[in-house]
Amino acid sequence: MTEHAFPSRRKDVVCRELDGEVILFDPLTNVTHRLNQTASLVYLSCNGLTSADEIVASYQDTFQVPANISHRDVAQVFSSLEKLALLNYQA
Amino acid sequence: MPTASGSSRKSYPDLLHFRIGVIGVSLESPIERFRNEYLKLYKRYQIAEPEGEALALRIRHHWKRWWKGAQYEIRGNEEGVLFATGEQEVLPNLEWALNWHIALYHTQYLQIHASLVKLDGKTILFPASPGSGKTTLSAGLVIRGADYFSDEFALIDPKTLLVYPYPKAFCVKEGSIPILQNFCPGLNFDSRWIKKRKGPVAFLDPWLIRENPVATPGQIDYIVFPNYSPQAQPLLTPISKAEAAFNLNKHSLNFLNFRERGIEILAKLVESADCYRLQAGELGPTCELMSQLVRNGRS
Repeated sequence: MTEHAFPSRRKDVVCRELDGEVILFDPLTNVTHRLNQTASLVYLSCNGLTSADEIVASYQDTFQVPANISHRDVAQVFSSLEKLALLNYQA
Repeated sequence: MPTASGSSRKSYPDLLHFRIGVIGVSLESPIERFRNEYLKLYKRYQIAEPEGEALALRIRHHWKRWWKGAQYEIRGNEEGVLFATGEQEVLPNLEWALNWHIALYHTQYLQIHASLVKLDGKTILFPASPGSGKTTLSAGLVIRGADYFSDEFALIDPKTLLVYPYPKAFCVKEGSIPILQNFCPGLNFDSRWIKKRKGPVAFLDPWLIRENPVATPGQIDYIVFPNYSPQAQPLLTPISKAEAAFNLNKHSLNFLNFRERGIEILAKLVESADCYRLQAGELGPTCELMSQLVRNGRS
C-alpha cells in the first residue's frame, strides 16, 4: 500500500451495504464477496479522492485503536482487496 | 420381451397431467406400477389438460443384454436421459428429472435450494445443503400445523419477492422415518425407493399429514439456515443481513442468471426478513423453538 495513493473501487463491481457490512458482486469473475465491518469501512472509503493515509486515520478514529494497529489492519484489507482485484489506484 | 416383476405389458397409456404448485408435469409411462405410484403421491394435483409449460416426463424400459435385471430410462422433454437400475430407483429419478427441469427452465424465478413453510401466517425459508435436516424439520412443522411450500426449491419472483409453492412429496431418508413416525404416530411409509446419493428413501405426501396443507404465495419473513446434530440442544442465533445474503447466494441455483441485479434481490430479501442460524436437534424441541420465534418475533 502506498500511503499517498488514492485507491478507488472498481466501477463495474456491484456493491450493496447491509447494516454496515458490504456484499460485492464482481461481474468479471462471477464471484460474490462479503466484507466484515472493518473491511467494509475501508472499502467504502476508497472513492479515489481519499488517500490511503487518510483512510488509516479515519479507521483509527472510528475504531479507537492505536496508529500502528490501524495501519496494520488497513494494510491487510488493502492487500486482500488487491488480491481480489477489487481496487484501482491513482497516484 | 421380458417384463420386470410387478409390471404389466399394457398398450401405450394416455398422458397424465399434473400441476404441482406452479410446476406443470405430464407423465407418460407404459409401466402401470410407476403411473400408480406417481398418482398415489400427486393425484390431488392431477388436471385434465396441461396448463402452460409442463415438463414431459417419460419412462421406458431400457434393455441391455449384459444386464440381467430391468433398467429404466427416464427422459424429460426428450432431453437428458437418466437410467434407473431396477424399479426402486425410478421414482427418485423422476423427481430428479423434474428438479433438473425446474432448474433449467423456470429461470423466471430466483431459485434457492431450500425448504419452506408458513407457520402462523409467517413464511420461513430454510436454505441448506443436503443432509442439514431441512426436509425432516419442514415435515415436522407441517405436522405441527404449518402450511407447506416445498422441501426442495424456493421459487422467488424477483420483482415482487413473493415465494411460490412447489409442494412436491417430502423425500424422507431412511434414518428420518422413525423420527417422523414418533412425532406423528399413524404416518405410513409403505414404499421404499433408492436414491443414489441418499440411499433408501420414502416419499411422504403432505396431504397425508393434513388436509390442504399447501401454502399460498407470500413474502419471506424469516430466513433460517439449519444444521442438524442429533444430540444438540436446539438454538437460534441471529446473523447479520450481509451474512444471510452471502449464504443465500451460496444456496442459489441460478443467481448468475440475475448477476448484478441478483445482489439487489438478495439484499431486499434479507432486509425484509429476520435472519438466523439454527442448530437443530431433536425434532419436537426444534419445532417448538421455531414456533416461539414466530409467536414472539424473536428467538
